[in-house]
Amino acid sequence: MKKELIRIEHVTKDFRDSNRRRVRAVDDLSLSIYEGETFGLVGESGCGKSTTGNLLVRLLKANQGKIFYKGTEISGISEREFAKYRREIQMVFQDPYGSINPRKKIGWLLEEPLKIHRKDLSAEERRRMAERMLEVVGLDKSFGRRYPKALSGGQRQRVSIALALILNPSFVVADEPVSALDVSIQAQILNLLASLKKEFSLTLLFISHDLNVVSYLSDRIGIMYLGNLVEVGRVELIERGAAHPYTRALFSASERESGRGPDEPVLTGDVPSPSDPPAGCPFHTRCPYCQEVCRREKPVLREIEEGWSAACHFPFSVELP
Amino acid sequence: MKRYFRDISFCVGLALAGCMISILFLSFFWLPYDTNAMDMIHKFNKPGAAGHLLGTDQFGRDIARRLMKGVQVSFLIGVITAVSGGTIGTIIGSVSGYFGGRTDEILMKFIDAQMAFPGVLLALMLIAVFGNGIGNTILALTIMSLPKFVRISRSGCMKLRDAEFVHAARVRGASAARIIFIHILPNIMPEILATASLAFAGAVMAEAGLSYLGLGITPPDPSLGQMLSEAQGYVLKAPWYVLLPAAVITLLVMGFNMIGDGIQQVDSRGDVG
Amino acid sequence: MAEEKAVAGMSGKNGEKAMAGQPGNAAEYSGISGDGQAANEKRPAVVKLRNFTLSFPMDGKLYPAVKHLDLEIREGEMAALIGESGCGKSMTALSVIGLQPETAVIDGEILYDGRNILDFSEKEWSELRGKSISMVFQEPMTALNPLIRVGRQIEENILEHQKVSKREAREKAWAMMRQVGLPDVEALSRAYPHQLSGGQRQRIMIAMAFINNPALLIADEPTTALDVTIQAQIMQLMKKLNRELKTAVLLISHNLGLVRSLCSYVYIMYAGSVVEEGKVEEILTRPMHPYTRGLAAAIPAAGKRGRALEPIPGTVPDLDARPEKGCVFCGRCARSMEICSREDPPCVSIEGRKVFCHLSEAELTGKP
Repeated sequence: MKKELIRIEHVTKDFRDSNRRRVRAVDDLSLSIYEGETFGLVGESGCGKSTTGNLLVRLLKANQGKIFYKGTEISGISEREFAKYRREIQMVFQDPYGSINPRKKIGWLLEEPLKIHRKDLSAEERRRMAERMLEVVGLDKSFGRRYPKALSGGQRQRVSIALALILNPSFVVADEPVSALDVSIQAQILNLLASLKKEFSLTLLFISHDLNVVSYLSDRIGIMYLGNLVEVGRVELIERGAAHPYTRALFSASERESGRGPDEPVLTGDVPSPSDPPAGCPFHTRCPYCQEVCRREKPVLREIEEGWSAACHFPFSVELP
Repeated sequence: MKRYFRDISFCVGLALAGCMISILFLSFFWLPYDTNAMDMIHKFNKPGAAGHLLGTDQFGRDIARRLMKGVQVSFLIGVITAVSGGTIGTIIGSVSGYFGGRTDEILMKFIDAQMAFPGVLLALMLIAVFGNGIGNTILALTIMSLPKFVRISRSGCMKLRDAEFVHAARVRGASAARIIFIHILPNIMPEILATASLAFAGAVMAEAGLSYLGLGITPPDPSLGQMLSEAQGYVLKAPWYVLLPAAVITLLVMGFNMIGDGIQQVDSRGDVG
Repeated sequence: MAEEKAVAGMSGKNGEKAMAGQPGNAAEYSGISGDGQAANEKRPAVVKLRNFTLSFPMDGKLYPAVKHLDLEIREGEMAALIGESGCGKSMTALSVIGLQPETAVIDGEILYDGRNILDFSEKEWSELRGKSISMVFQEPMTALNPLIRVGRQIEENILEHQKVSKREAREKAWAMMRQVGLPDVEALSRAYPHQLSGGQRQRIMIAMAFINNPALLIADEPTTALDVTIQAQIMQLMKKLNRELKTAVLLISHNLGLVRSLCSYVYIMYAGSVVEEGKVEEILTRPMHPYTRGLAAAIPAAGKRGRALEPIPGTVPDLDARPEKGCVFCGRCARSMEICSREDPPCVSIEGRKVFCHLSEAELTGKP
């Protein structure tokens, strides 16, 4: 049986917007990520996918709910206690330009996590580990002496990956790691991530707005809409025919993007503001199959078959005559 | 660094400041005559006369020598003020800006209050209480310069607190002190240096003003402001005696102001090259 | 014959002038067209780029960001310029509307209405820009004035170029806002840009761009900042307006699949040069140039799971590291030959498309 590495239980995260109104970024989210898998989290901007990632690496703290790592709760503990999990839980960031300190040399940056967490290492050992890591991500070790300014976007993202992996973590959150890159470079980085995942036996949470990328890389995917997980399951089951109408809309929009699929837009209207979410099912304002009960009652995640759940009152709806 | 040299203001400022700094260094190794030696026979000598390069004052003291001494004092006060004000202000500002919250709010109220209070008046009050002299002048000017450093480093830290590379450092386990002093501060160093340069100019100016009023450096030690105040009675008789310290103050203040402005201008234009 | 038909098929005097200024053009584009789609091919060009080169001076040398570009957009047509960042597509788009950076050094010509608009004065531009040629930017938030209500911004655009009363301008603005599919127009026109969603803002930008019924609209990545489900709506809207108002559209994008159903003709750019051009459907289903092929192979999809993608190795060379002669792609091309770094690639015409490559026709098509 697969072992659970991360469990999120009923996590809620609120922000305050500029008008001091409460914005619910993540709404009562429960999710498990199993050891050794790649879990893909997809959704449009503002759906709470990045917030979820930030909660896991503790860049943010949840308002409610618990997060477990290997069965131990890591959400309620102090920053000092959490420090030992920092080595285990790492992150690759989206922006290859913003996520690397422009004033530091690459080698210095790579050695920094070792200085913090591996006080047993000598300066020479640190330097050698940093150089080896550069080679692992496909860069020359001479890159250690360069400043980030001299690197291209793809090279920076390789550095970013090296930075996340140098402590040999077991869980890595990759938040849109390729969305700022061109297609030809994106493929290089995706291949690198896939091969490093094997080499370092990582568990990966891959967050992206691009369903093509996510479904290429992931074993299981979760689709988020307005802070809610609307569908989750093994990717080969979902891509055969998604249960939730929003998932289907996303699939057809991204097929369009890769040059297949229908021409007509599948959804009308805008995503409602997260500060004023609709009552009932969060998707009902845009859902072509909306019924009375959808406006009233919020659907919960229900299992469709093993390893596949959706939060919809009428899963697998088809166009009514 | 290269991009700063493309800015005219920075280059001119650097040239002016460079002149003053070379006078300063010259003064460490070579000074003509004696600072306070009076020579009543050669008073109000014109520049160049009787071996006095820049003439003599009402007591026959060599103006060149007194100017060089004055420059030393100005630099001493300016550098200590900029460095100590910069260090303390930056630490307060960046820690306050990084953590935010209630402490930050209260601190900013203090800083706002101090900024609304005329700096020279504050210095006058301090000197009135503790007496004049170099030490107290420096103390007063340092307190005067603090708010600018606090503001600039606070806003820089608040801006970079949410930068992705700071988040990345946090995820890698860097402590708050490490993030502030190793990751954030080097990125706002140009702004802090610009502020320091302006604070230096401000301190030189303020010291000249205080000494002019007889509240800064105690005579007979020379100071540029004091020379100015002594010379004003002889404007018609010995115009060079007034013009020379005035020119030195102007060049010194202008030089460092232009350096500060230059850095700010280059940075606001964005990071090119 | 082709030329006569082209002239006969023209509606306005714009086209006539353009043709008069450029004899022999009709023959040129009938050459491109080859078979099929005859109706489309015979329309005259609205804007024509001839041997257009845009360079940036650095340390006394000129580095071309766009090199020897030939491109034309015909009346009522939707054409696309596709390429990755740094390929020069945005520089080209900005030059067509006269907004290229001041430091840029330009060579060649861009013909509109028979005149080279690269020689235009700022005064001539202000008459042309926004009226005959307009533009939609990638990020609508930065392109709209945040302090003016969106309705006012559209009205100002009308008053600038049309002789109408304020009242008429308002009615026109509202009609246009309805046409771009905005709901509750009266209330929305009083909103400030930050009160609208990204999709709504882009609709406002599009309304503003189409309001003076321009001959050409340039859309620089109009949907990149938007969510996928909104993207489709905006693309559909562009197509609808293109049909209804007969405005030619030049769509700039990094994504070939996205423009598939919209555009008829597409130019693929790489590092400042067009490497392949032709009909969208054909290039998408059967790319020929090694770069276009590489792009198609690099796109991830669920179907490719478990297999490694085939990325194009290396990165786009920086402006100052591009070869002066030879093929720009040769450093990253798996099929490059000795000749590729020595000589500029020739234009190979295959089945109505142009491929700029040293490979032979058989090698390009993959046919024996």
